[in-house]
Amino acid sequence: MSELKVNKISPRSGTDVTLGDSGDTFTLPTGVTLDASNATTTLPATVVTTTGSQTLTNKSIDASQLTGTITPSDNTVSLAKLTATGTKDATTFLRGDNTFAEAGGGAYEKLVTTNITSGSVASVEFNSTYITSAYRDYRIVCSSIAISANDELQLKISDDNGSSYKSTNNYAYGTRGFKSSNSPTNKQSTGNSYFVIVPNTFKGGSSDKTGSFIIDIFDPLNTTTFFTASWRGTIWDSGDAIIGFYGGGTFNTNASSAFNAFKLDTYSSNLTIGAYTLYGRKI
Amino acid sequence: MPRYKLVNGEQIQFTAEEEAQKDAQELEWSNSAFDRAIADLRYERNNLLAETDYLALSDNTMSAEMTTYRQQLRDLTNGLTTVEDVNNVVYPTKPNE
Repeated sequence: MSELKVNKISPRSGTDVTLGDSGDTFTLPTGVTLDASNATTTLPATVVTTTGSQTLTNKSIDASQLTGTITPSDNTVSLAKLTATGTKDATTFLRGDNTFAEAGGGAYEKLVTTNITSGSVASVEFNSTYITSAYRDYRIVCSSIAISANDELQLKISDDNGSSYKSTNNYAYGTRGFKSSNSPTNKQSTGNSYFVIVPNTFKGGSSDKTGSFIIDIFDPLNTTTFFTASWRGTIWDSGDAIIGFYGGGTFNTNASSAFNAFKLDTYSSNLTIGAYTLYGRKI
Repeated sequence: MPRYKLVNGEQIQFTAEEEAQKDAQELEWSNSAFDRAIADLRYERNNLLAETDYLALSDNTMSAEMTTYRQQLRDLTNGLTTVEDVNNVVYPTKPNE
């Protein structure tokens, strides 16, 4: 084997120099450095010809050059591999702007369901366990509700987590309904000691003539505005008429109070059947 | 028999204070039963009167049957003293307009 020792190889004419012929192999032994850092290097279509792993040290490949399918060796992209900013946990989602953020508001999320399937209770209440600053608005869906005797259905509010419910005559409301017989019915007050949800006497003592309705409660923890709620639904009344109704009201004092408990009950009977589900909504 | 409330789905027995409050409320509700019944009757009666009010305008001559019907509606609450009286009220039949 002969050895050629020169300090530089240059084309004798023109600008091209060819090394060997097709099928030849030029080997760079261990410890040799091929420094092309200041040159422009044109690579063949297939670069890697050896098996095993290759490491790209202290270099990166521009994303625009990665035009093929890239499969991580473990077939997973872990959270740690994602550059997205924001809190990565069970309450956040990855947005299109590469940021982890809480689900954008708007949708009501179920918080708790209270089912009355047997026996009876005097009231159904939700308090600060669920009425928190995590949500702005709340909704109570009352599904297939029955009561033990003809009665009113009432909504009361508390600013001390249900230790006491407001009983001053500051519940101003209006509830309007239409009977299936086409006659209107309504209840209203400029200052009652509770909201009356249904506009006529709610039929009691029946297991199949039930009522179903939705109560929306808006921003109850706000300490600069009056408590406000609205409702809508359908019931059987004490005369066996079916009533579709809607209404709303405001507790027109204590604007600086945060109302953190709600109670649904009747004047003198019990709640005997039904599902009461509380939802919360972010904005 | 003790009363219960459901707070966040958990059944809790009424306190003595809550029991007393509810007892008073029930008594009040019971005592006002006739007032509520007669108010509901008046409301329904007034709706029925309103349905035929247009027939009482000055440019219309009301039929004798309609005049009688409207007077019967107005008299509907006369002599009622109990809830049972109210529940037994029979509304007059509306004549053809």
